Amino acid sequence: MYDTAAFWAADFNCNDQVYADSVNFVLHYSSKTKIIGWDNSNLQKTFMLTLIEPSAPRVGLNTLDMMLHSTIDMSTYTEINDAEMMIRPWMESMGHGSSNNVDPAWISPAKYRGTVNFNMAGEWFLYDSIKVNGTFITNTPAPKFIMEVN
Amino acid sequence: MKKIILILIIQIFTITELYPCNSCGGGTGDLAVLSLDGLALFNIGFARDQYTGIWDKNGKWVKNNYSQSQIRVIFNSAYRLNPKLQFAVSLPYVLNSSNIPDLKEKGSGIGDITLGGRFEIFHEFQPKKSGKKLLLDKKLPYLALTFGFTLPTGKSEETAENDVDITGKGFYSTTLGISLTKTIVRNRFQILADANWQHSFEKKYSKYYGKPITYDYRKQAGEKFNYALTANYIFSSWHSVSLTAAGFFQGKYILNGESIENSGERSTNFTIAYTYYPIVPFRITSSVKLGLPENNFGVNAQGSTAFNINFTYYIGQ
Repeated sequence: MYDTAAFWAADFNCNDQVYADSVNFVLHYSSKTKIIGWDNSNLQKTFMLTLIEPSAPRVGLNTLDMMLHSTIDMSTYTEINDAEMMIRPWMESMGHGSSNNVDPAWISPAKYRGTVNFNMAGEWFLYDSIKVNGTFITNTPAPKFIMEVN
Repeated sequence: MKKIILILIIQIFTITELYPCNSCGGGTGDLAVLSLDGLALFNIGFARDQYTGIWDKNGKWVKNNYSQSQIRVIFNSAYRLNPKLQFAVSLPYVLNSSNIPDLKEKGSGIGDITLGGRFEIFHEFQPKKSGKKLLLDKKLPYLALTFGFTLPTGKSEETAENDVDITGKGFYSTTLGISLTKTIVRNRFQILADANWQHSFEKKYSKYYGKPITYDYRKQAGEKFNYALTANYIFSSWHSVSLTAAGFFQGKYILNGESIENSGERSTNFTIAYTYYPIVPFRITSSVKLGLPENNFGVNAQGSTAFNINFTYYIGQ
């Protein structure tokens, strides 16, 4: 599930003796999701950006780990290894960003590492604009993670 | 004694300045103020703000886990043109420090210069005609219209490469306000009220933290209302003490023409100040400002404990 309209359901089978079909899970969308998905109509693909770290963001420099995949059917995911990421941390409630950020760079299949600086406690947006082969695959405004920094 | 009372007004207004945080740069505030019989004054002030935390967007206090502070050395000067009009200039030099790990720890530079003045509508205890007699008016308060203009001479987040290098806002702003003083007990006790509206102009960024940006980035701070209410007690010709409650309300930020939800700011603080007059044209004022680290004393604003000392030399008419 990557947007507010989707839902999760499961089919259960216990030793071919007990069955349960299409059991729905009531899930609520969280603005602090660690996975962001968006469609790119030009490429006919859906991209998924996953935040791995920081799991507990703090004031100062934080290691930033993210994964990037694409899918055309929402069941098989392809690792993207040649993306160029440009991050922009932004404290919207106080109208400022921060210095000393390092854009994530590829370190292992689908995985990118950078550094993000949160210079103040509170709620931060972390925007990530992504290019592949010189073309932006992200929409405008860029996808963002929302983080509570302590 | 009247001179001393009016000088006190100057001091109280200089200690109620509202300065923002390291990452937001310097600030605007009231300038040095001359009494009616003053021609000019020169003032140098040293202020140190120790940032203790922030109030988040819900008004909840979040303590600072790191030491961040700002020292300002401020040169003020004022000149009286006539009994109704005076002008002033304020030039700050800002020194920031922070111990957030792995980041630059110290930075300094010239802050934003403020030009301002006041048009004085009434002065207290002025002679007035009553029939053929000339009496001293005891009813009218001191009332002035205040105005100011701040120039972005400091280094803002556009050109600074680190948070501690920020010494100014980066945009122009103006203030328009009123200043009121009423003596309750002559030569002993006064109430002062000061309020102004601050308008900031839009800033279009071509860089951010020194790096070129390709996206459209225009920012404008919301309309701001500053206030200060002071009670001043004069012990003698040498000593006085004042208590001030001050703060501000600021509207939402406007980013690329659209206002941002939950970005309004608010803060309240309290100041106690002591002034000593060793000789008539000279005074020394020290003060402590506290922003109470409690929930709902502010929103989206930094809280600090500030220490201030001012030295003022005064030239009479």
